Amino acid sequence: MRAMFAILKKELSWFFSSPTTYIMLAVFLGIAGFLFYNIASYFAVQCAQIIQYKASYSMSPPPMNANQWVVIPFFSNLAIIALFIIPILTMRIYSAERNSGTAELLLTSPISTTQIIWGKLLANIIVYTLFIGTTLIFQIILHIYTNPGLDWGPVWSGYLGLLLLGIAAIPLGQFISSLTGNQIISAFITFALLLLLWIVNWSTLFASPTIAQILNYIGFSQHFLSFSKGIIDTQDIIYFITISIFGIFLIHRSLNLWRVTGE
Amino acid sequence: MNVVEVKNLCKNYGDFPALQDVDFSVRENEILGLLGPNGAGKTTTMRILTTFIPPTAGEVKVQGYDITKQPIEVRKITGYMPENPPLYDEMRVSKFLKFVGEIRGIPRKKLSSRLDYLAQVCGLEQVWNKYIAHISKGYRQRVGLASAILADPPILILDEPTIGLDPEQIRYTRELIKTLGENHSVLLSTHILHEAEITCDRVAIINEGKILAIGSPAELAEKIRKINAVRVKLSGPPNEVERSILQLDGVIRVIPQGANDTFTVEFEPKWKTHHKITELAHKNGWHILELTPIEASLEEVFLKIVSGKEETE
Repeated sequence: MRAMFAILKKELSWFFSSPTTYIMLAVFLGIAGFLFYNIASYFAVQCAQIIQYKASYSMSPPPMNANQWVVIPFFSNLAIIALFIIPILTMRIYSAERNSGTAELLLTSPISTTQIIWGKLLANIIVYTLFIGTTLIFQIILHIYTNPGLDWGPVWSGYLGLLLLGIAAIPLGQFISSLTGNQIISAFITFALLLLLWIVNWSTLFASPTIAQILNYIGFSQHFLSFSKGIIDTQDIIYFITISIFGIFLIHRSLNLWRVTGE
Repeated sequence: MNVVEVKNLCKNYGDFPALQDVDFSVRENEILGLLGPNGAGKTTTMRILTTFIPPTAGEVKVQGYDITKQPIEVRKITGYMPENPPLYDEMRVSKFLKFVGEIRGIPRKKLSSRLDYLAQVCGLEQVWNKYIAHISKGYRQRVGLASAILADPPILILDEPTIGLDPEQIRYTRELIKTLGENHSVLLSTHILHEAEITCDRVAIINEGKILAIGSPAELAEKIRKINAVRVKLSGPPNEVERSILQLDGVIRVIPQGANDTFTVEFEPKWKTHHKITELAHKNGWHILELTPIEASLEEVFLKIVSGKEETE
């Protein structure tokens, strides 16, 4: 346990002392803010039109709901930004050890591969959680400036969805990082893989019903969407956890392969 | 008692046999040197012993623990310093050593006193709070050594510990290793003969993945000495001296030296030619001005073994 925490501490202290993290956080919040501003503005314009509509035709307007109009699309956008952030968080995690030869230090220390893997996974998950956690500020702003405010249930379930998305995607990114000593390649391939998993169900339109069902199941987006709507389904949780376990298994195999090739 | 026992160790990289039937053992509290040219298999051997890479075949036991079946136990009792010490450039020296102490499971209380001790013994006080990226090659090497001996394991495996150091640092490191060798079992690799000769109790000569000879530097010289040689200077006329020596049994060649009155005589050991030279001088009434046996240096031994042939002509 202590060895695992030593690795976790080492990784976290790297994250918090590296300028990369702060630049990324700034860019992340900038993009998230821009998207939030656009979505919220569109919502405001819609509201204004509804009021006009009501005045001219004296009909009862359809109900306007900030959760429906802002929170759900905002979460979809956040998920896509997360797909950009995760490869950058995971790219160096094993690549750097491979490149600098420090893999030799870790693998000849009296600690198990499992301890190394968990230390590194937790480090990434903690940093990722902090990143997505900062976007709470937008939800709070929305809550303050809307009447009657937000329904917080779906907001929390959306964050749970984002967290699970990270828990599934981070092991995949770390696995790819363990395959190469080149951080750029690691980030690029991870991003391509995560994007593919996000959009894989787009092709369901042209697929037979069975294949469509499979593609829908494999992809991230359908599972994530229920969370952003406020539906917490055990099946979706199981899906994300399964992907995560599969990723951890791959990392395990990959680290054992390091030993065989001695790189 | 043998602390490390290596039997029939083989390692293939694809089709390339990096190690072939390597056998040797490290005794308790001795310094064993693996001596060989670059690419001989020294690093591969050490990586297998430290459980970094698995062997293709063969058996290695470290204090009775099998390296493939009980790797964690083996890692607990060995300290390893690879040729390029694996260090995190973005960490401070003190933080790095603390991290190594933590992953090696040194109790918190013991760790801080151990760190103070190592800062002093390895001469790291000056760079203690510097980032590893900013310290010199010599200091990197010392940090690597400090991290290997941090947990005070009974067995130390050091891959080319003095490579890339300046002469003063080399001397310092060798002395440190010799001191450690008094109560640790040390396996070190080197391609420098002189280093093997002065730091190691025993030397194993390795080339192309095979152990060619093993023993103390003096034993190795003895083993290899298929040819004995003496330097001779007699008071007789040089031409005549040369001619008569050549007629003695077992003489391989006579090489004139200096002002052509001194000769290096090479002969097969079994003929004991140096006694015959004494008799020869006696018979002819010459004085023996010089009769010195020439010792084979480890360098000659090494070259002979590695090139795989003796200079017999």
